[in-house]
Amino acid sequence: MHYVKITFLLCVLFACTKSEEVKNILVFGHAGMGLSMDNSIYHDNSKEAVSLALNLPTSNGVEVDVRLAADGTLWLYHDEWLEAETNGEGCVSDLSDQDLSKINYRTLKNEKLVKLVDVLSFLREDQQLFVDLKHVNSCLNERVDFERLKEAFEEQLQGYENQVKIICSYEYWLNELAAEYEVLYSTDDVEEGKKMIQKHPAINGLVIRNAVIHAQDVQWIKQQNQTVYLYDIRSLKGIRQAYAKCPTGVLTDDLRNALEERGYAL
Amino acid sequence: MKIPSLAGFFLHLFPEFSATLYVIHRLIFCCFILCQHWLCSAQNQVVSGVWRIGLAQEVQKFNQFSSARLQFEKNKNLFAVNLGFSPQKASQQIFAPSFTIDYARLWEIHRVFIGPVVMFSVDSHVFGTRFLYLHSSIGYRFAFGAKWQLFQESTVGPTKETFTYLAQKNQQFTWNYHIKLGLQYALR
Repeated sequence: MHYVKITFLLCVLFACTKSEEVKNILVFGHAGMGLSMDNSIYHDNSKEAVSLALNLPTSNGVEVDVRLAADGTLWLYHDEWLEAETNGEGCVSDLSDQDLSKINYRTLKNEKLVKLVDVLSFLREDQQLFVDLKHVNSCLNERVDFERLKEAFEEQLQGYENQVKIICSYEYWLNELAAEYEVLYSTDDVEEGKKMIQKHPAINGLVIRNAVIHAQDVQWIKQQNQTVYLYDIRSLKGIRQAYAKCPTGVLTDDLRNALEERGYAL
Repeated sequence: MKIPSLAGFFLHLFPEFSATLYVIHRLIFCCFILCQHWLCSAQNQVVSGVWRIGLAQEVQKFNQFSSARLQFEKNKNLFAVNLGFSPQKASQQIFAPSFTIDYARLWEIHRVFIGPVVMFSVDSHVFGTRFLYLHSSIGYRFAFGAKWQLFQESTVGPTKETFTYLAQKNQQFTWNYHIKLGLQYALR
């Protein structure tokens, strides 16, 4: 009976100890405080959401979706069409800064569209910003001009180069972007991602959907000295499943729970 | 009038919890006003209220709470105090207590009690800093049974979240929902 009690106490003790590996996982807010999340308070990619995500205790940073506007300015917006979420019409790539500054999201708080430069100052020195590059202009059904995009990065990310990681899903831009910034390839296909890592050694790793990758694949990628970040993590169950795979980091839609589940970072 | 004075005394003793205690102080005072017609009734009148104890589970936008409940009913009026904690936060090794006060006006139709409810609550937890949530909401209450009573409450209203981290005060307002389900037992 005595041994049963001791075993029970040991089980309780170890069940409550968060592993050091989990505490080393980096936690980032996906599009600020999450995409279409009930408890995010603010609309994704808004100034308010990014500010809150960066102000939460132990937050490692935030991921934002970036589009190039007609004036060569980088704006935060996730969807392809403005009418999907805002009172505007058309595509970000076709509108000027003046037009975009008048647009707001169709929410109770009416958050405005925001430029990338306006959220950079929220970053603390120990935090990182993932820039998810949206490279297609859906209105014209073509890719944005890469040279203009590089110029925009050079000009608007000045001073924050070491804190920014670019997420790109277009293979042919990877190497050129990797010469200037840390670049991650975004894919939903694990095998394709593995091939990209071997084909483009200049990139720094993968951003991949949590549901499609197994722990063994995460370990394989880390063994290649590459980083792996998981996204589409929306529930506490999903957060626990993602942490069990021990990725480099997670881009989560439920930032509060992800931070608390990890505990205090080392 | 002793309860508000006692809260004021604690405010003086523990200034670091002043925000939480200030809210509790206010809530107790509001409840005192709401219930004063019971408390200050004529001395020769027979008190015929019903006390109930129970357990409740609440789901809301940011969290879930399990709580113990003490309720008093008289003349269609219901007043209840809930003291609970978040099992979800407990599973993350964080203690998140909550304190809720409900007031409802109920009508009985064949052992079914239904009516509007007003709820004020405060919950808090510490993760890197102290997070404080203040809720006020309005909705309906539905209860079934006499000695053993099953009840359900759904309310909506504003929530204020506050926390200060690295000397920066953060304060957000949002609409919130509260869905509560519970079971209670009549003491007399």
